[in-house]
Amino acid sequence: MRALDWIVLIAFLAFIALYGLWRGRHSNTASNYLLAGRSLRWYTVLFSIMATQASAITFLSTPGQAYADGMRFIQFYLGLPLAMVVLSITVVPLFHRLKVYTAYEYLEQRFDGRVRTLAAALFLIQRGLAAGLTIYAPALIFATILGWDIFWMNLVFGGVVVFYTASGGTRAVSHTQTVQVLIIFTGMAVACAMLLNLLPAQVSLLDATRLAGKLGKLESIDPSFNLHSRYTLWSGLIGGFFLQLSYFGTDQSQVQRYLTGKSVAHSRMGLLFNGLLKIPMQISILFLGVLVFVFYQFTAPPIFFNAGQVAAIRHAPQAAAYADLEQQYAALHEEKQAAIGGLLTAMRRGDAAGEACAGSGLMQTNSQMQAVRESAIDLLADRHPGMDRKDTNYVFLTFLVHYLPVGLLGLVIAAIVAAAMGSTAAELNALAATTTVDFYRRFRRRQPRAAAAGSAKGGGNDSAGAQASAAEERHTVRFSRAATLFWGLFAVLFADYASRLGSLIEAVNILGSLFYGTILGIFLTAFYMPRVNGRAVFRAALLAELLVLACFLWSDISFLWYNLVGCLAVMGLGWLQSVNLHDE
Amino acid sequence: MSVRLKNPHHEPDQADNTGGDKPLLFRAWRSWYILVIAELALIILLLAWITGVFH
Repeated sequence: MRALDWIVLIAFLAFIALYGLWRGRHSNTASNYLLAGRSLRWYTVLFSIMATQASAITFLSTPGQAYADGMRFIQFYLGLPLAMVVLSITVVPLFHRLKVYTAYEYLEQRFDGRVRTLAAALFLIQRGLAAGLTIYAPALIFATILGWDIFWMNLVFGGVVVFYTASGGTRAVSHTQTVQVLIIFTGMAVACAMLLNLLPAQVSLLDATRLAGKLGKLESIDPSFNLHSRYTLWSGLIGGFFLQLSYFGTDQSQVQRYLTGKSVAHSRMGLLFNGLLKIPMQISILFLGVLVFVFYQFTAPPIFFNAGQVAAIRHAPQAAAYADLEQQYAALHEEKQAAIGGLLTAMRRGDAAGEACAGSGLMQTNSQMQAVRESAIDLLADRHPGMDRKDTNYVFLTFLVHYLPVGLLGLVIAAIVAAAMGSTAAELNALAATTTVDFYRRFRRRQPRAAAAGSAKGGGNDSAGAQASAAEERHTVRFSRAATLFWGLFAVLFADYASRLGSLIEAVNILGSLFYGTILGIFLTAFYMPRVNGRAVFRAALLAELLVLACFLWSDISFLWYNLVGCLAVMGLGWLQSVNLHDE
Repeated sequence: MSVRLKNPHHEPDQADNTGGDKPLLFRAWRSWYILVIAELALIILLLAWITGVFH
């Protein structure tokens, strides 16, 4: 990064901090601070929803995934539009009608206080750890490629986010997310334009697309019903639907975004536009990765994109062997240029036989290159056992750093940082809201409702009651700010700790899956099983959690299945208990 | 969706009066839902076509 890139990045950080401070300057009541006074228009709700879901990893990892595995990852999002429609019909009017601050408040009205406390506590554990990882994951990639210090990155990026989130609350978060989404779109457009510009002059966009298709990178839809394949049309439509339903319907970091809508219509419009725009946005990001792949067909790529691992082996005993593999890799890359030229010529002429011949030659050389690359990764793994053999997270940033001109690199890095900040701010905001509303206000000796009730009893002119209510509001805002600071500090410290965990980070992801299914099960029981009462669902949730823990400790099923096990166990056990209670 | 509340009287009596529940552009929400689902179907068909044509 040059001076101009740093100026762009620092100017962006300063602007976001000041803009958030200014936008949130009137957040002096609980409703204003936690839900932006329920006053936001649909497009602000939309941008806020999009910025919350899209973290920095979305923009760093997704192009790399397309580079390695093509566009098939798009199937993961196919259930999202359907989930948006279902939530618009069911959850949005319900939460608006009940005027809740958090999703978990609804559980007390539907069941009882214990179920609400259980679901809110599970959310705090899961999202608290996730907030740390949202800061840490991009910091690790920046540290590897750009050589930045992880501790200072966590502190600066985390500090800016905590500053405007704590001072301005939800209003600051939602308005800064709008700016952040615009910067993200600008950054991605710049990266796309630069990629097209960097392709050889004789290669058009159509040529690049055809070449990518020939090499299998445009295979987007797999209609087979294969349970062992992670991304198929059906796993995306069915599995993705339930995943997005639980994320947008029960996770406070998303629920809080659409509760800020000024009416049911504005919240619905935000969600429905997200359903319209999310898949085209992901297609664009994946296509960016496909273009990076095409670019590296003409320009020699590094044999392994994780520069940190490569730098370490240069001073190790395996250095000579690794350099030899690099030479073989570069020679094969040169060799395949003739095949690429032949393939493009045949495609332009419509010469099917020439296309097949050149295509098979190209595929053969690419297979040889892949074999050399695997040998190189084996050498890296010999030196550092347990290292991550995948380098997809580093592909896009490596390209940006090496080929973007000065100034534009700063802009695209700012876009990635914007994505990290937007999702972290929403997480901290939701954690603070849940801590305040679902724990502090409920368990505090002098309840806010008591003050409000005192005011109501004395009539609208009771100034003492009104003053008490205003003081209570100010106190709630102060506590929410303190809660934001606490969770911000927790996230930054956990992010710093995570840098020393190494491969144990996956264990933290597993920890999240231990709770998500149980929360979803509680909400689905609340919505669709009217006979199940609070006592039954509370017991069912505890038993389901034990069952999930048993799966974790004594079975070898993949941790992604814990979500389904927890959800079905809550619903099934809740139903069984309700049947027993009715019989009794 | 069947939603049962433990204490229905807990609900605020006032209806949402901050802009109503009318959709933008269309007269009924059903049109928006159909649009979202139709776009999804179109995208799936387009991606399936791209998968076949550019292979």
